Amino acid sequence: MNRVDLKVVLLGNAAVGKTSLVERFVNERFNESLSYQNTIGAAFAAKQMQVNGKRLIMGIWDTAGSEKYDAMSRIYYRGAKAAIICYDIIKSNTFQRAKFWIRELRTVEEGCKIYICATKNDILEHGAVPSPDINVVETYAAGIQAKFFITSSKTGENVAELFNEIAQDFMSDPNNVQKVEEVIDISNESKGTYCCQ
Amino acid sequence: MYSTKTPTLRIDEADLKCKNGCGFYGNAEWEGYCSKCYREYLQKQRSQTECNVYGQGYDLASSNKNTISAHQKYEEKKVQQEKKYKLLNISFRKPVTKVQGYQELLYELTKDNPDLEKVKTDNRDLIAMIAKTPVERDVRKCMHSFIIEILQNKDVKRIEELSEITQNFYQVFAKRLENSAKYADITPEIKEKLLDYVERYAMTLLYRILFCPPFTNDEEKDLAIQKRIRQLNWVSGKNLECRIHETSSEVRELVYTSITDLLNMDSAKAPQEKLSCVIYCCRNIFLMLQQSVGGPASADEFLPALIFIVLKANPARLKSNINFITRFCNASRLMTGEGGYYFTNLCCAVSFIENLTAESLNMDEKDFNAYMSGERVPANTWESALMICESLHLMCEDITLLDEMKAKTTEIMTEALNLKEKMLQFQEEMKSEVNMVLDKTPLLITHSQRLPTNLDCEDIESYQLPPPIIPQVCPTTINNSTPQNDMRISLIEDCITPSPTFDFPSFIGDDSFDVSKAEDETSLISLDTQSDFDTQQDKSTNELLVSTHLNLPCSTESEQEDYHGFTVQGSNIPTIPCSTGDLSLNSTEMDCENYTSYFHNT
Repeated sequence: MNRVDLKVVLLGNAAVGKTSLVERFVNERFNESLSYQNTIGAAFAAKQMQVNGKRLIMGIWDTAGSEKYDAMSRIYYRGAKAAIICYDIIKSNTFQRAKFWIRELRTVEEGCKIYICATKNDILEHGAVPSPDINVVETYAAGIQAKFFITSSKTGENVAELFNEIAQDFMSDPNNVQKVEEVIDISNESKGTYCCQ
Repeated sequence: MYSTKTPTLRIDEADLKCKNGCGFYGNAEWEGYCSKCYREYLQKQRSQTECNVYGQGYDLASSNKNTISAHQKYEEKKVQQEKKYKLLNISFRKPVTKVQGYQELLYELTKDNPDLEKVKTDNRDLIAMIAKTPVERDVRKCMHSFIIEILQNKDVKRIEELSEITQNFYQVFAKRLENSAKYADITPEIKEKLLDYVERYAMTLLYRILFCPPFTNDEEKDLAIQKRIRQLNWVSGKNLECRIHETSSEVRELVYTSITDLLNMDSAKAPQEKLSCVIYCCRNIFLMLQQSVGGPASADEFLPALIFIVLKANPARLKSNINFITRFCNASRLMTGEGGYYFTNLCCAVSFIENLTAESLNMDEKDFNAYMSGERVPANTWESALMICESLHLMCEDITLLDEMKAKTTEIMTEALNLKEKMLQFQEEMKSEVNMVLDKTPLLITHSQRLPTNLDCEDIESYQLPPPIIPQVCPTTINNSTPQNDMRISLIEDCITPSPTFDFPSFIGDDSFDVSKAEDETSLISLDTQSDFDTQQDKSTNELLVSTHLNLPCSTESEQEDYHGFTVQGSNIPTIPCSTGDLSLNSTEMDCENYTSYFHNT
């Protein structure tokens, strides 16, 4: 699976749950105990998706969240069509970092759509209080024309919706559709040849 | 007049113009020339470099140029620098001689290129499949025109432009594969393979020209990053906050595998091969992190680990390789997938290393500077991954070496003991065999040979003696003599016979029997000839006769009793082979003992 139609970058502090989010989406599972060993890395994932009857391959790029790598994060953004900016729903400092990335993206990669993603929604059930307040984030997201999702990788809440939304938005751009259709043309052709053979 | 009044920061319009004074605007990228003049300048520079490096007139060329202007001095310096780099790299790349046309160059590149052959053999199935079809002809045509284009432009255009040509070619060729009727009945898989093959073949062919070309500063950057990494060799996994359990042997093994993978990148030729080296390296890092972290690693763990690996590997010509991949890899095919992700991470790691500060390692500015200048070696040396990894690795290697050596020594010891046993056995066998032979064949002298003996051969006086008595006279005397005398003569004649091995001189002396007998015991030499014997015999007979005439039989008789005859004595003479055999056996025994003692000593 070398060819990827849609590049999505994942940004967020370490331990906000980026890896779990990808894991949940790609393999439809959640690792609470870190017990499984069959995937070696969760830094890069590619998944084939169906949108409006068309197939596309989404490549998800995990990035290192530590501040000392901020200078290089631009290399990761290059050519990304979408960015998922994660923050821990109860940790305001991770949201501050998220704001930093949004500013970065806005200046460096204008064509990149931004999706703000609050993670670990399930811990709210245990009485934790979201910080900052959900309303604050929603207003902020609307202000920068970004979409906002509250997810939980543990329960799978909103995870598929988030990625589907990204794919939908991508396909709604006619330029992108054209590109993807070219790919699909090949696969149709291939079916034809197989019949002839 | 105007320019003198303007502040220095303001740029004069003349400064913007081409340095050659052709009226067009120059560009800092083109060293102040306009695009046209820059090309000419580049060509001139290249020819100068080649002339300097390969021609005889190096000094001549430089002395000619030195005097003209300061600018040309700078130019000269640059040429020299290039020459230095060229010399440094001369073993890697053959010099590209300018005089040859691109056709010859193409021939030279194609001829005897083992890498190219390898590409061909790797894609044997594909080539066989498209052989002698319009597809093959078209692929060939496209590839040829592309290669020729690159070869024609290699001296004229900048590397970015060459890269653009290449990327365009990839795209055009991919489009052609999609749309052209010639490729209509080929499956997408084969098309992918064709794309891959074309890229691989063209890049392997052009590798010498496009990889780290002399008209870029790739080599300077290579050296800079290499130096930088060498300076940073004290950085440990802990500094980078990467979770590598250096103490685990599996992790260590994976560290070394990934380092090797990364180092392999330089020897790979085609960009996708280089890229796959990066992919292997990164996959090994993930495996390693899985061992250390206990689950799939995320980018937060991966990037520090990759930085650590790059620091420890210090790959050769790192920048050149990265640039080569960026410029000539099929971007749309390879740069979006997994390979692209890992490659991006590698670029990040390199850029992190280049911009590394005390802050990024979470340490004191002072400490950092001390480490960088080499003033201080990390205090927690035993903790630092480098030391642990390397010394542990060395230790492991040493242990295996020692084991091997131990096995060899034991082998040698057993062999030596075997040899010793064999030698002893041989000695015993030899002994018994010799004894057996001795028992079977005791030395017996069966035939008595009559050999002439003459003690007086060297005595000149004996020759002055009167001539021997004529035999005719004797019979009468013998006939007249007593039977006792007859017997004595025969006895004497018997006694003359020496042993076959030893020549004993005749015990018959000139004067008396006593003398001759004494002589007999001491002297072992006889050089007499047969003729001497005759005379001697005659002489002795004569003397005997004289003695009998003198009535001295008793003395001779007593002599006869003491002397038991040669034949009897001869059997008592010890045989020589026996004693020599014993001697040799003794010596081997000694040697054997020496050998074992030698081994005990060692």
